Amino acid sequence: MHFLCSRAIALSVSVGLAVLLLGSCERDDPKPDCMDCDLTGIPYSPTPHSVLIPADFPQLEIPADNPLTVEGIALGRRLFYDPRLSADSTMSCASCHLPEFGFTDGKAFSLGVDGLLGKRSSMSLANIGFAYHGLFWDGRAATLEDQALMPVEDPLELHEDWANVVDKLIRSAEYPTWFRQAFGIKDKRDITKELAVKAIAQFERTLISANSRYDALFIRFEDFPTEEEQLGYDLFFDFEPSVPDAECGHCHGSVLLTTNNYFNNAIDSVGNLNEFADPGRGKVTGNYLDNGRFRAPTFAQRGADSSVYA
Amino acid sequence: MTMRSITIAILALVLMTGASCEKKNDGPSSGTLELRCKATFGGEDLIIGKAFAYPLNNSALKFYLVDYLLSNVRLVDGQGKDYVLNEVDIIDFSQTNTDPAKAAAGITLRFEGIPVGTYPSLVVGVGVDTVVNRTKPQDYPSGHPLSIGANRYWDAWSSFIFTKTQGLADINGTGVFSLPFSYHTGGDGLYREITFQHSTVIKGGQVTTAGLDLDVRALLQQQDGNYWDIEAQPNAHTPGEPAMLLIMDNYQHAFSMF
Ligand code: HEC
Ligand code: HEC
Repeated sequence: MHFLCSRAIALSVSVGLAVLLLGSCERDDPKPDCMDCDLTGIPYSPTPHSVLIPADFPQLEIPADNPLTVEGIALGRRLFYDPRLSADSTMSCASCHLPEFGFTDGKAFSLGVDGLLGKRSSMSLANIGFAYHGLFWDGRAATLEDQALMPVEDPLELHEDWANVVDKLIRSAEYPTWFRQAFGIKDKRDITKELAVKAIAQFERTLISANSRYDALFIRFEDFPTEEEQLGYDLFFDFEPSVPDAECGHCHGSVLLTTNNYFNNAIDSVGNLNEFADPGRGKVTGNYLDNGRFRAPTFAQRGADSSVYA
Repeated sequence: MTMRSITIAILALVLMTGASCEKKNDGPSSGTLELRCKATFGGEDLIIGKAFAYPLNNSALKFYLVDYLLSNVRLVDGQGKDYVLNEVDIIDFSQTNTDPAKAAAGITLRFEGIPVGTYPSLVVGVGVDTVVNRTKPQDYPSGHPLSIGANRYWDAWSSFIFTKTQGLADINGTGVFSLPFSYHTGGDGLYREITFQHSTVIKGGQVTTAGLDLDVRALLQQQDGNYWDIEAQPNAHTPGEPAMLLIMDNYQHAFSMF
């Protein structure tokens, strides 16, 4: 890798830091007229958490400003399963990302809180922490933190305002304590959507799946495959020259069963690249050659019959 | 934090970053080499999606993916000692060469801190050597040319994909580009190193430039002078296929320095 280095960057970073530091000094002043908002009586001592990553897996890359902590993950799990994130408090993230379906919903299109059918199918969150090349079918969200901001306000999903969600969290009996324990906020009203999505992202990074029958057979070699399983494997990855190549491994390759790249798998039949009803990746990159490309997913089944480490 | 400790922290930060910059900059005893990698087709800049006449049966080709792993680039000094410039970089023309200006400019790799001197030859590797080919994509962080996301590993043959040459062919001059062709190369034994007797002079604090051109047409020319029959064998994805050997051997003369 080749880096360019400049003092100008160093300087502007330092100035930015100074502004930030000064800013936080000012916010130390207690906010007026809220007797029970002060959280400083609750201890803040987050416990670092390291995820158990199976041998053969890539490194879990975690943003420097959102290290995993036991408290952060616990808060994220609660938010993920909490229907308060939706307009009428009936749906949560888990309504479309169910653990028993490998964190997808097993449907072609997901139903949103208003009973409206979404435009795309839900995605498995198994091993989602290793998806470094954009999230969603078209890659329009860069990080899990960015991604988690979106479903809440999506009219076809949770259809709620973040301001309302934050308000519900501030008024709840337990969340202020949990946010304090996870992020050290001093005042209930310091709960923000940015902290909420950090916690959700922490939880999602623990959704590591490596205990399926597939893993036992073909990653850890702990058991013998049936004839059909072996044939499927050879077709999928073209391991055995005498078996025809089904070419699946080109797009669903690697230990993750995806390289998280974008492909056109020719499911939509179109006359030319501008005719896709859903242009997918092309709409995000603006390059028409990307029209009709979607991210190759891992397989939810792998998450479904496996225990999930946390 | 008091104001004073903040100031000290900022100062320390500026000094630290400043110091690390100092190291990167070339002093009087080192210089920089910029290597411009280009792709052409029979002398013309290779533009993604543009039709090029192919010297066989009146056919024509459009390329959509042309890339290669460039590894172990090194300068060799008069005493036969190597100065290694890179481990591995991906030279991928499929994004840059959609734009004629960018195709003309090429993809530039910058190597800093090279000891001053005259280096009579330059060596480049295409693909990765057997040592690196024993590693796996999961050994590399995201963004690395060999990482999982780079999508250039064959699980089936435990090899990185060294080069990709892909596009659509019009096989009989009708103007219809309907035959997809795709040649991927890789596998132990197909790594190639090419030595150029190209003298590189590195001067203190200065940038030297060199160019490395890949003539994609030359990749497909056989020893008897005839061109590879794309219609007969439009794909190669399995080590040992003749097209793979042809392409990897051809890098030797498809490359030229400018
Ligand atoms: C109404 C169903 C629904 C709800 C509720 C929902 N999702 Fe999703 N989720 C989807 C769909 C559909 C997609 C794919 C959308 C697309 O590509 O445009 C998706 C994609 C994702 C992805 C991207 C996965 C990948 O591999 O790129 C993540 C992460 C995710 N959702 C997390 C969440 C979180 C966190 C919440 C709660 C804040 C949530 N989802 C709520 C349906 C839902
Ligand atoms: C050219 C790349 C490519 C190849 C080859 C390919 N796939 Fe896919 N696959 C994709 C993409 C992209 C998607 C997601 C978009 C979609 O569903 O249309 C997908 C989706 C899937 C899904 C749906 C998963 C889900 O969660 O919705 C399954 C199952 C699947 N592929 C299996 C296979 C099998 C089995 C093969 C081999 C016979 C194969 N694929 C070959 C790219 C590919």
